[in-house]
Amino acid sequence: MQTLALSLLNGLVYGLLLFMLSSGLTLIYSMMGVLNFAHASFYMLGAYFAFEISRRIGFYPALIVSPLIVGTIGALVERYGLRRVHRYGHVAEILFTFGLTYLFTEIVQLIWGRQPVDYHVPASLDFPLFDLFAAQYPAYRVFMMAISVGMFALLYLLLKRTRTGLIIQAALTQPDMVGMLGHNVGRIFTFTFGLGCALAALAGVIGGNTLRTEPAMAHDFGPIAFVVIVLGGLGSISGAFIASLIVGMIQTFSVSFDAPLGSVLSGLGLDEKAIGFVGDLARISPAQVAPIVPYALLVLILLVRPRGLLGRREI
Amino acid sequence: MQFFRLIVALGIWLAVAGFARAADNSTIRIAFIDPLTGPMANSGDTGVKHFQYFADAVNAAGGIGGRKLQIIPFDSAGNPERAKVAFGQVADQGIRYIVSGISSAVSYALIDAVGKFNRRNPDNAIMFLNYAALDPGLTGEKCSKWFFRFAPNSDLLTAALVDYVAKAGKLKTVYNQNEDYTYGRAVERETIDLLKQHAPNVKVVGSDFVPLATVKDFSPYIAKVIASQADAIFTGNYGSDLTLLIKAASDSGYKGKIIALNGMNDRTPREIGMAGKNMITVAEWVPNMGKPELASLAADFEKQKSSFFYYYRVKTLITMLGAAIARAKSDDPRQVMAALEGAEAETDFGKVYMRKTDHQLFQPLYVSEFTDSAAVKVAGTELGFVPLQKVAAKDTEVPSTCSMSRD
Repeated sequence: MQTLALSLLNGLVYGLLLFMLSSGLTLIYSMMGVLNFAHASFYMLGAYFAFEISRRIGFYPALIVSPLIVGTIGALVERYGLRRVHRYGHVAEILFTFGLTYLFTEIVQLIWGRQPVDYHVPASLDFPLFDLFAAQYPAYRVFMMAISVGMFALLYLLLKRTRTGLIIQAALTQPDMVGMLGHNVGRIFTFTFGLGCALAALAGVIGGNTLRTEPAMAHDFGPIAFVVIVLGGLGSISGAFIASLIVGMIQTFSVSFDAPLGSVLSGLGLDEKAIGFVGDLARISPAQVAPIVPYALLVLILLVRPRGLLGRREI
Repeated sequence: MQFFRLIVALGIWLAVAGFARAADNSTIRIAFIDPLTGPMANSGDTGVKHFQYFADAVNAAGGIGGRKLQIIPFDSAGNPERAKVAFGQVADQGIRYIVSGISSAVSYALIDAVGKFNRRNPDNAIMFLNYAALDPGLTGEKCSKWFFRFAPNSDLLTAALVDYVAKAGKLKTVYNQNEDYTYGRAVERETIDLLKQHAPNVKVVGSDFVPLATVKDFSPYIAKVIASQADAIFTGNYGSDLTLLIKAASDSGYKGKIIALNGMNDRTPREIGMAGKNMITVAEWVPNMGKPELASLAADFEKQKSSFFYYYRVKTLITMLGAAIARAKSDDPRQVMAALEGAEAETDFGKVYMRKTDHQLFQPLYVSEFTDSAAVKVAGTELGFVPLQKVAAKDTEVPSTCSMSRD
């Protein structure tokens, strides 16, 4: 019971963090059809800026300022980089963002070095909020949940309930018509790209201190963000939300669920020693394979339902 | 015209490269092969700084019989294939000594590469000195006469920690947490075996393996440990796998002890900070020994290299290599090898010796606790390492499993 409750909460937190990271990615894709390989780099930049700001003026200002800076960088990248590359097609765009990941990693290493930086959870949030059976639950994790749920709500309202969101959605499918109506489509694209990057940066601000703020963090989180948006359906915010929670839960539950495959087999009346090579596989416990489960899911969903859970278009 | 320019440029480059190679025969060059890029770059960065620091110290004191040491870094990216490519460059440049340590997988690849190279080029044999790889197999079934290890291997570290657990007698149950590859598996096996022999009343209530440097959220693993009510987590994890594990344990209010083979490594103490309070760890030295010269060594290193002083063994390595070269009166690895086998040396912590049968260095080991009562604290934290128990070099000895080919 205790393990179940803890796993649920942990899965929720991890899932929500993944959502913050991938929502921007899927937003940019739905908007511009660009798979932004550099997305996790903006997450990394967010964490590094937050580290620098929080040691000068504090964590809470960093929560606002860091995403603003990164959003601006993102907007500049779109305006002066991606838009020029756009005319050469998707491959060029992907290669461009791919190159950016290396560029950002090197810049970060030049400024902050290769070692992880000491970016800590703020003291005002560093206490156990409640006891859950024998374990404690840290307040900061609840804060992370609140921020990401709040962000999801705001993003949803922005896209579905405001005039800006209406124009963004219109520009997505009918850019020429929106342009004819007197809107500056280019600026909308720049804004959306910046917004997506700012969301990734926000994830960096709140995730960088519980995980680690280091040059490798972009490399670590890039692939899993792709799993989430493919699983949820490219371009779907709600899909990304559901997919993040699924991936988060799967990863935590496959750790807590300790029975090796073999015990299931022997439950079926098979002796694991008698089946040789398969027996070796059967001794692998879900905890060991937990980190690859999301990628297995990615392959599965591409085979069975290529447009993802809530996606509307085929890849 | 363009082609002509290219040829000229190539010619100049070759001439310069050849010149550089022929230059200054008196320098003893040591190739440092470890990750300088990629996710493990920070470990390699710390390593190369230690080597440069101690090589500089030797050079400032007049070098080895008047000859200077030069450390030349090569990038392995933490990857055995890349390490082999780097080894190829080392061999091409005629460097006769390599040092490496990050990841036992890389060390296995390098042992193979060195063995093959030396069989084909017996007159230009290359020697491999290891400062950080922990897998016991490197001086066990894979041992080689060209390979010398100055790091205490994981069996020695585990033995020292189990010895502490047995003597302290407070723990009833432990939970194993290790990385899922040869090294982590070896630690788990050794922990279970040694506990059975030396502390039979301590029960192992669970074991988890995680893929190397992949898991970002350890709280589900900690939830399992708490559910098992284990008194301690016994772990061979290092780097992010260790810091994230300890942070998650502290966040979840885990009350038991953390017993970590690599708790003093590199930046780990700084990163865990208060979360790591009362962690038990082991290494070949400990800062709070009432030895002012050691404190000033660490402080000077940290000032010059802006990196955390950790690898005391690099000092031992450079010292013993220098002494062996002086004794052999040559820097030819074939003679240096013979001089280094069975060699003894006196360090700041007592006598150390290089066992002849498997080329594993035996040195005193210190079990220590990360606590706020320490006089010398780790920079940026309120905690420091205080020795709990010293294990003399002789007492860390485990039987050799190496059958070394001598031809």
